[in-house]
Amino acid sequence: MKSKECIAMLLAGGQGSRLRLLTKNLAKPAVPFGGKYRIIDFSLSNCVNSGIDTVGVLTQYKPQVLNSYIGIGDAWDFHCYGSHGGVTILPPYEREDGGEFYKGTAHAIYQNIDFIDKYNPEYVLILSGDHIYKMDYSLMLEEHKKNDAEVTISVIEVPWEEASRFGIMNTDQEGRIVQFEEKPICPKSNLASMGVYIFNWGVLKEYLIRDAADKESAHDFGKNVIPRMLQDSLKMYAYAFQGYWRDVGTVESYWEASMDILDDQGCLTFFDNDWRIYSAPSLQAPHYISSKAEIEDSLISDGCAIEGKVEHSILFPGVFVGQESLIKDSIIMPGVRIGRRVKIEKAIIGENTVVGDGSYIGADGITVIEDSITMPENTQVGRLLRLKKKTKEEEEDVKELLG
Amino acid sequence: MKEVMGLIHHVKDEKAFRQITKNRCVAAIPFGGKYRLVDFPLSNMVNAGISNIGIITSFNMRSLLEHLGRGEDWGLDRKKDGLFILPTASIDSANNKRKVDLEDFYANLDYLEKSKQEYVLITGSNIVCNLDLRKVGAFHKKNEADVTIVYQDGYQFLDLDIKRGVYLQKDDDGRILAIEAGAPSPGNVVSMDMYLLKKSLLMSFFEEGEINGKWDLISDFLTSRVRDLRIYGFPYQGYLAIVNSWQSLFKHQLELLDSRVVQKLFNPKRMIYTKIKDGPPTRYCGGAEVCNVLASNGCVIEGKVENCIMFRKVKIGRGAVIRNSILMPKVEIGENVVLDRVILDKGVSVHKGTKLISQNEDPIIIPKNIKVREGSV
Repeated sequence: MKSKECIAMLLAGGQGSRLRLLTKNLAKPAVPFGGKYRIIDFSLSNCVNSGIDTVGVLTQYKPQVLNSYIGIGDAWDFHCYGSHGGVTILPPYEREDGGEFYKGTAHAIYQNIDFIDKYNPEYVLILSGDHIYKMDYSLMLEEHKKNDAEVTISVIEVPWEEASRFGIMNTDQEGRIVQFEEKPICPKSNLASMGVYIFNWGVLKEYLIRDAADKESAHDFGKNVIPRMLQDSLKMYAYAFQGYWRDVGTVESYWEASMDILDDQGCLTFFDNDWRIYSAPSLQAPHYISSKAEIEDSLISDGCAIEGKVEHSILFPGVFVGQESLIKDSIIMPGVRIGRRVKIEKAIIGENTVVGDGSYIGADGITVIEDSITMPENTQVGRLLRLKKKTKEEEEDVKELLG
Repeated sequence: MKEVMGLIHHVKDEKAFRQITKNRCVAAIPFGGKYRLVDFPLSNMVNAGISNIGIITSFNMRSLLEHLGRGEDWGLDRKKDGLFILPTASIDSANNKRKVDLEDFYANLDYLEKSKQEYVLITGSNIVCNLDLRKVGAFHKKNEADVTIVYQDGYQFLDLDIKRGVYLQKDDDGRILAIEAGAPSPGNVVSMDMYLLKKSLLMSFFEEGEINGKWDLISDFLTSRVRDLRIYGFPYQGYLAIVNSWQSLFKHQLELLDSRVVQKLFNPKRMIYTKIKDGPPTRYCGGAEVCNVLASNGCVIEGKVENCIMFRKVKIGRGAVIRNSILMPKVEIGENVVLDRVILDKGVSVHKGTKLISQNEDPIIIPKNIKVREGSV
C-alpha cells in the first residue's frame, strides 16, 4: 500500500462526565451541537478540509450512537478512499494474550500501532473529539516540517486570568517548548495546549512502547508522554493557532460555545463555504413557523414546528414549540416536544423529551433536562435540580417534589 | 409490492411552466421548500416496497439527473433492481400531446423485458400526494382488474388547468365506464395519472402501437376499451396537488402553509424522500419577523416574511418585506425589498430597495439566476 504522509488519530473514547446528563447515553464527541451537528463533525471536517484522508477514531465509552453516525464516513467524503484510507473506527479489542480497555489516551494509540503502521506514515496527528474549532492542520504540518521538529503542539492564547485552567506551554523565542505545566497556579505564559499534536511517527511509537511498559504511568499524553519527551529534550515546538477554539467539556462551556454560535463570536460561522463543517443529517421536512410564532436571534433546523416565541436559542431538528410558550437562551435537542404556555430559560433539553403544558424550566445557572422523559403539566424545574427518569407513580409526584 | 415495478412517465407539456422549465424538466421542478416533484411518486413507490423504478426523462434532464444520482436517497442504489434512467423517444417533445406516451416505454423495451416483476405501476411525475400504493395493489387483485386507475372525487383544478385533466365515469362498484381527457365528467372524478396493470398487457399495447403508430395510453388504448378490459378506479382521499402549470405550482405550494396539509403530506409513517443536502440550520436574526412560513435549512433571515415558502440558503436583508411568495434555493433579497406574489427561481438576487408586486392573482416569475434591479422587470 502507498504510504501516507500524515494520518490522524481522533480520541473519541472519553466519557465526558463533566457534561453530566448530556453524555448519559452517548460519547462526548457524539453530543449534538449547533442545531444540527455533533461535536465530532468539527474535527472530522477539519481533517477532510486539511487534506487528511485517513482517520482512526478511537472509541470506548458508549460508542453506539457515534459508530452509526460516522458509518463509512460518507458525510465527510471519507468513503471515497476505499481501502486506502478513509475513516476507521477503532474500539479496544482482544488479542491472543487477552485484551484491555484503553487505559489512557497514549495507551489507546499504543493499542493501535499496527493500524498506524499499515499506512507507514511519516507524521501522526493526534486530535480530540470534543473541541469546537475550524483549523487547517496542513499549515501546522508545514510549520512542523519547517522547524524540523519531532513534536509540534498546537497552542492558543487564552486570557491570563484563565490560564491556570489549562495545560500551559512555556516556549523560548523560537517557539520551542521548554516547559509544560498542567493547570499552573502561577502561569508563566498564556499559551494553552489545544490537545492537537503532530508527532514524527517513529518517535511517537518508541515513546508509546516505553510508556506502555511503565507501570507507574497513567498512559496519558498530557500527564506522561509529553513531559517525558520534554525531559529527553526532543525538538518540540508550539504552533500558535489564531481563531476560535473551545473545549466543550463542561455543561457551562458547551452552553457558552453554543451561544457564541448565535452571537457570531470568534468568526465561527456555519455559513462559510470555504471551510464547511459537514454532518450526516437525517431527512426532515422543512420547518414551519406559524402565524402566532415569534422568532428572534435563533437557529432553527428542519422538521421543527413553532407556534410560540423563540429568543436567542438553538433548536435541533424536529422540535415542536406550542402556543404562548417562550424559549429563551436555550438549547433544545432533536425531537423535543414543548407544550403550551411553557417557559424555558437558559436550559438544555435532552433529545425526545416532552415538556407538559404550563411548565417552567430555568432560574439562574444552566438547567439540563435528561433525554426521553415526559414532564407532566405545570412541572417546575429550578437550578441545581436534575430531573431523572421516573417510574409512572413517581412521575405523578414530580410536581410536588420539585415545586 | 415485490411483484410490481414502477415507471414514472414524463410530463410533456413543459410550456405550461414558462421559464421554470427552461433549465429543468417537470419532474425536477422544486416544490415544498426542499423537494422536487419527482420525489412524491418516487417516495410513494419506495414506501410501498417497489424497488425497481424507471424514470422517463426529457432531453432537459441535467437537473433531474443531478437530483437523482444513483438513487441513494431513496434507497434505490441497489445491486438487484434499483433506479433506471430511461431517455424519451420523443425528440419533438413540445408538439407531443400524448398524456402517457407509451412510445417512451417502448424505446426502453430492453429494460422492461429484463425486469422480473409481473405488474407495472405507471405514474406521472407531477402528482403530489402521499398514498399507500399497497392498498392499490390489494384493490387491483380483489377486483381482478386489468387496469386500476387512482382517482380523486371532486378534485378542483384551476380553470386554466381543466383542459389538462383526465376525467372518469364509474359505476357504484368502482368500474370505470368512460375515460375522457380534457372534458370534466359529472362529479368531477379526476384521474391521478396512476395506472396499475400487468406488464404483459402493456407489452400487448406496444405490439399495436408498433403497427398503427398510436401510443397514448389514455386516448389510444384505455378510452376505447372500457368495455373490453376490467378497468377499476381506486379512490384516494388524502391531500392531492396535480401540478399542471406555473399557476398551479404557485397555488399548491402555498397550500403547504396550512399545517394540516403538511401533516398529511409529510406523514412520518410514509416519508417523502429527497436528495439530502448538508447545510447549517436557518438563522433568524434580531430584526426578523416571520409568520406562516415553511422554510428549509441554511437561510439567513433579517427581514419580514409572511406566507412564504423558502427553500434552502435563502437570504433576506434588513427591512425587506416578503409576502405570499416562493423563494427557491439560494435566492438573495437585498435590504428594504418589497415582494408580493412572486416566484423567485433558484439563484435570483433582488437588489436593495426593489419593489415587485403582482397586480393580479397570478404571480410574477423571476427566472433562474436573474439579478433584479428596480425597473428591470
